[in-house]
Amino acid sequence: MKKFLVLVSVLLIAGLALSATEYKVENFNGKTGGTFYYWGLGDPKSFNIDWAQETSSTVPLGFIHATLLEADEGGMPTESGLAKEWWFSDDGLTFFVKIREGLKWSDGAPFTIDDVYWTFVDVSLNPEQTANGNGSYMDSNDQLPVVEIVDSTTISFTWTVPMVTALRQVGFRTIIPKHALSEAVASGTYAEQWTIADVDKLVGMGPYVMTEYVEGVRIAFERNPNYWKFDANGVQLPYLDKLNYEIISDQNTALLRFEAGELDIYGPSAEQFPRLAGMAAEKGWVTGVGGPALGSEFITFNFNTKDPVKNEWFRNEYFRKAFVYALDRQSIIDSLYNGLGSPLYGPVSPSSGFYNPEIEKYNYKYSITRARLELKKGGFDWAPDGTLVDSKGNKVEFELLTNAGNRTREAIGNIVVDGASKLGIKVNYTPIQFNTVVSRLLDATYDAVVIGLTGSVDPGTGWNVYRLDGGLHFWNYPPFYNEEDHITEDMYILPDWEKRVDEIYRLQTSAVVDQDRYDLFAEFQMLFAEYQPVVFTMAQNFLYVHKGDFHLTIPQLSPATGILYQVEGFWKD
Amino acid sequence: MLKYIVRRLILAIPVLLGVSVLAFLIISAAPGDFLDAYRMNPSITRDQLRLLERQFGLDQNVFVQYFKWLGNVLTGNFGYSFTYRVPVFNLVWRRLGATLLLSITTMIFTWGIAIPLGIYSALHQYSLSDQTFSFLAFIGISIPNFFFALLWLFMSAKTGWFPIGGLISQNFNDLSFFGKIGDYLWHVVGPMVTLGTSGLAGLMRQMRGQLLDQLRQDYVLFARAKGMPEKNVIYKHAVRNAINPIVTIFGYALSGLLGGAVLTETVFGWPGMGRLVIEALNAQDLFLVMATLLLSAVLLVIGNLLADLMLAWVDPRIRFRLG
Amino acid sequence: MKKEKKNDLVTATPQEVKKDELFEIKYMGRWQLAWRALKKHKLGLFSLWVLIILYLVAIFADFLAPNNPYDQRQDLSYAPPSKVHWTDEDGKLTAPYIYAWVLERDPETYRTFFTEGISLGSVVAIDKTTGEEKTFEQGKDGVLNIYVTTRTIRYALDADGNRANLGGPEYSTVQTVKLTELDMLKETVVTETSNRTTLGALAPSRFRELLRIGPPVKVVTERSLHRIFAQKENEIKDVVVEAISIVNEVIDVDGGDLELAREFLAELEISPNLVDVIQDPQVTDYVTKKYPIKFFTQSWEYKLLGFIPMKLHLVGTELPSKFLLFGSDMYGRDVFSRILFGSRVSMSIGLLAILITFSLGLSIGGAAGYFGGITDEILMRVTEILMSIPSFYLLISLRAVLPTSIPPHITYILIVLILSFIGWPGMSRVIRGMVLSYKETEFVQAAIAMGYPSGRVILRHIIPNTATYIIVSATLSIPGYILGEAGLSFLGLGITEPSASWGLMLSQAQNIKAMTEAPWLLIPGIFIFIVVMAFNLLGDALRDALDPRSLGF
Repeated sequence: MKKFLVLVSVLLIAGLALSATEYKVENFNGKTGGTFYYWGLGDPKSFNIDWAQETSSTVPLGFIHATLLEADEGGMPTESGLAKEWWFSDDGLTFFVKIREGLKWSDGAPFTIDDVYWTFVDVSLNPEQTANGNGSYMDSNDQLPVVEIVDSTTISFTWTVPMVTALRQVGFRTIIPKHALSEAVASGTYAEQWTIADVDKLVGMGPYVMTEYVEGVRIAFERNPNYWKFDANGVQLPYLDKLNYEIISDQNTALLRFEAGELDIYGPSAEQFPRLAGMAAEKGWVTGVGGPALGSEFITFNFNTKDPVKNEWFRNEYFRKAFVYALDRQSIIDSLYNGLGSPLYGPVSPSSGFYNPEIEKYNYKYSITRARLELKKGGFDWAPDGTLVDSKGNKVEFELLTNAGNRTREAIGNIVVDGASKLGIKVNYTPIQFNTVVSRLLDATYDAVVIGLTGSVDPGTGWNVYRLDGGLHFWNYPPFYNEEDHITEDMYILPDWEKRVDEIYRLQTSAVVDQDRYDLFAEFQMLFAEYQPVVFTMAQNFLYVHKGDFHLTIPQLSPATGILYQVEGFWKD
Repeated sequence: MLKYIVRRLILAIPVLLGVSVLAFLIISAAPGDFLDAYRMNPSITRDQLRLLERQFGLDQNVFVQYFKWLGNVLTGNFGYSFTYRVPVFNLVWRRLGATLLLSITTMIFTWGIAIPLGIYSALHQYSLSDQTFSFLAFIGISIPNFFFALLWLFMSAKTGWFPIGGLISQNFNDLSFFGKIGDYLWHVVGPMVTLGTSGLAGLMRQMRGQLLDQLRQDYVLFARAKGMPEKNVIYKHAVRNAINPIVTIFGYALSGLLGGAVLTETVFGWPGMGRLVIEALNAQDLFLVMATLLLSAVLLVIGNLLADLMLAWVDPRIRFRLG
Repeated sequence: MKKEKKNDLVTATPQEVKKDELFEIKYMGRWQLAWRALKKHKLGLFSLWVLIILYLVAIFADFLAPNNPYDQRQDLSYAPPSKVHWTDEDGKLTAPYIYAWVLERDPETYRTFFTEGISLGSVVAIDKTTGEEKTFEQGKDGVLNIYVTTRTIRYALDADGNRANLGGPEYSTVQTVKLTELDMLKETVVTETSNRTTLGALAPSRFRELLRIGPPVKVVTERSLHRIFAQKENEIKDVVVEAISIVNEVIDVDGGDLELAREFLAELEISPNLVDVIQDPQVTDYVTKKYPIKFFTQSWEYKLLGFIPMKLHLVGTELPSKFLLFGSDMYGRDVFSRILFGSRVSMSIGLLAILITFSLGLSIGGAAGYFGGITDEILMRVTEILMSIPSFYLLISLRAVLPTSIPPHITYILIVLILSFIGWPGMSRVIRGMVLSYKETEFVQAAIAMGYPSGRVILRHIIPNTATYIIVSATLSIPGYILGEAGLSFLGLGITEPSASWGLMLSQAQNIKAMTEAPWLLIPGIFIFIVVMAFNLLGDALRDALDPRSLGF
């Protein structure tokens, strides 16, 4: 009888607790049990989310952490995560977030609004505490938000002008446990916390908890017993009990291990894809081809080299457009990507919701004839021996760099040389060590470089590239950018369209109406397509292969979702 | 002899200082620094970069940086890795086991095969077996390690005889003690053979050539004429005289024990020092590079000293000179 | 018994000299004797010949190469070696000829493969729009090349034969027609597939059109000849193809005629007479063109020995075919020609680097071992420091101070210097160890006692005793240099694209795809192996030949 009473009271308390806890219910319908075998290229460098830089560290951390908002299939922050509700004030200056109640950290401690407040105020907005700095939280007046706790579940962020990227910057920020880290943050030793030696100390809100890290071998995860998501049938997520994150340091080895059945899902390179697709039917694998990737490879010409003759060429939009035409993108896609890629003529990937199809009206394509016409329009001509000369009779010859070891960029370089030779231009092409390329880029001491940048569905994240004072505005650094370099007021020329791009990037952060922001980026893409300050090349399609008995939550992955979209909903037969 | 050793150890100090100064200068002269990867990150501002430069001490003059570092080293503090944010020797320590396992087994494999084969080949010069061994050795030395490793993994995947890279199996934790040891050994075969084949040829051909030289010497003829058993002639006299350059090579083979082998480690996914060092070099992780450099310099000094001592041991004439 | 044989081999040479040889031994110089001993060494001599041939190949690479090694052809990416045919269609023996490769891609797996094709030598066709008969023949009326435009339609059929169009029609302009599709010139080629994956892939893209019919049971592809073009003026292929597509566009899309197309071309600054066309052709007769392998042909220009301008090549075929003995790489460049050109770097770099390494190693190691004491200490400590500095950083720093585009010959000298600079400390330590030992032997002590200068004692008395070690390690370090050079190119210091070297070619072929689908990319490895073998066997022979005991002194 006594036992019965205890049982009843326990059940009652449990029931009360349950009703007080605002779990998230996902529309999944999977089976529980099993181990998820995934892999990553190279060892993690840190388990500290604020100091980890490489994907080899951030991807495994993604399993143990959670954010206020989550991405939808288009990669936009529209799904609720730790936040139950979120809204802007009427004047658009303040962003409110209301968190779920009754959730627990993986170590059992309660998750409260203090954790959120502390994560932003003490860590994220304090440049001393995070390698990424606080630049992305600043509004167009370069002001940081004022953060306030409204009530026990609501927090607010107030800027001086409306700040749309709040959704992304606040929503996608990993919330870290105050109770575990506040001492370290206060004493300034946060950067040395949660290193690769601290596996047992990690606490998070994500679907898994890290249990073991064996250097160069694997990171083992187990399900987080306190995870706050349930499926449609009331089953606590994640479905898969364990996660083995195998550390592999070579793409070829990873391919062989997937083929041997040691991994559940694999994102092959375009070069490897036909091999896997050929085996898929026999092995029962599911193959998928998504849209073009979000990152991009491009050629940038330096408007401010030390040679005024070259500056004339590179500032000449017809010269750059000649390269847009002379670059046989389809060839690269066919030979390097096995046809699994798309040509790019603007800064935004067609996979992004912000892509402006209007740019296609320029009808760029491979055409040596059109390239020659552009050069003619730009005042160039050909000497009797076929070499291109500018209006003053200088032979056109320049240096092209890229970082050695990157096959795609090396291939682009090779094809640029080939295309240029058809135009009578001599390109001295040198693949070189990465750090050298970076130094030359940032000092503006290069002629032309083939390089790539990671991208995102939201073009707004590229502000550091497109704004005039951006650190990566390498094609036309303004003179005030770096006092020590050779760029002077006299030589600097700021075209109107570039000024407008800068303006767009300042305006877009406060464009609260979605359509306004879309229009701004549409204009930005048109300007880029028309003037081609950097010549975009192409993007590989997003590819993946997984085992037949392994199930995802959505029928088709894309570059916007990535491979690990809704990892808590993955399940196996 | 003890005096000699002490003298050599004292002389090692200027060597290590020289190495550290030169290395520090060269690394600083190389373009870029640790923060280059941060600089190419579109979401990091220039102000933030300046802050990071200050935090990492990269905004200071090279000499200031060097003496700061040297001061710390003298108090036993080799600094933190920029990338990992842990004391550098922790990182080295974590990789020590796997590195030693691979380098020691490789050494046993290489030397254990190369020396006997070399002796055998010399004694049967131009025989079919000699030619075959040489032929195989040349194949071994002509195939780049990276490619050999890939080929090995490819065959492993096809046949299932060996694991597809890695240090331990997925079910390692469930294995018995002896099962665990067996698992390590099963995994080490691939990288060991890959590394071994490239080193084998050199040693074997050297041993063969040196022994052939000695077998032509008058004292061998004399010993044989005197009726000394062939075994004694070869192993007591000829081999002992032939081994001089091999001993020196052994000396710096010892210094390579902690060096690791980048390409082979990468393909096999072997968590050795080679990858740690090359990643540190690429990222310009200053203190980690310096620590591993000093470590290898120390090993080199010790290896060379050992080689000299061994030379003296096998060759009384040298003993006389070094003494 | 066995033992005696051994004695024969290694020690008995001086005693068993025949009488006529005795004369030679007495009256021939040291080098003559060495040459005589070398000649007896069959394998060694053979290796010598192999090396001589390889060096000649390197010198005359441009004459021997069938293709320009830098010539990119994206439509020949990863093409396999050309199939050489020795018999014609009737099975009769003819001069060797090849077909051109045509790239195809499997629509489901995206795997590429190549089939054989030929182009038209001449074609007679009736233009159905005008009714007149036209003849295009290469070499006549200024016709340089003949292109055809084909038209492809795909549709799906259900069980009752109802038809759903799958988009199109698609047009493509080709110079080469697949052998299997030659019928297309006369009639429409129809291919059907009931492949389940093809049918499965239909659904999402052609949903609306497919709804009109029942479940599709097969997909039909119809290919037919659409237009024939003749190229009449010299121009690069890209522009010709573009001109053709403009003509097609004007006629098909804008509903214009050839005159309008010519106006368009002129506007784009393409010569309006670049191409002539037979619209809507009804082919009455055609002659296909094979590509015989021609010897001593004229093609791309080069400078023999660096100064004689020439166009003559040993073998070659006509465009658009490309004679690929060893297949092609990712950019469609001829692997064989690249190997020939790469041999210039690879065959010489090792030798030069070894020369420098060994002179440094010998002099420093020799001096340290011979003089001992303080000299030894200083030299050896310096080598220790140098051995400890990571060459990687040394190279990067060097790279940073050098200008980016260095002329090729400077790059080459740099590579040699760098490679030898990295190699010498280890070498000198070994030499030192050996010298330490030889210094105390009676013959050296005797030489010293006789008052010979140190240099002479080292060079004449000690170093010859290290010959075995030097020869063996020199010949064995050759592959290290050939492969090591590729590592330098990673830092932008070595031979970089688009130039070729064996090491670089091999390092770019190290992935599963090359191993399984394009194994011809690994052929440079075989060449490296041959060179290593040859140098080592020659080294063996040299050592035997240079050994005074085997010379009969």
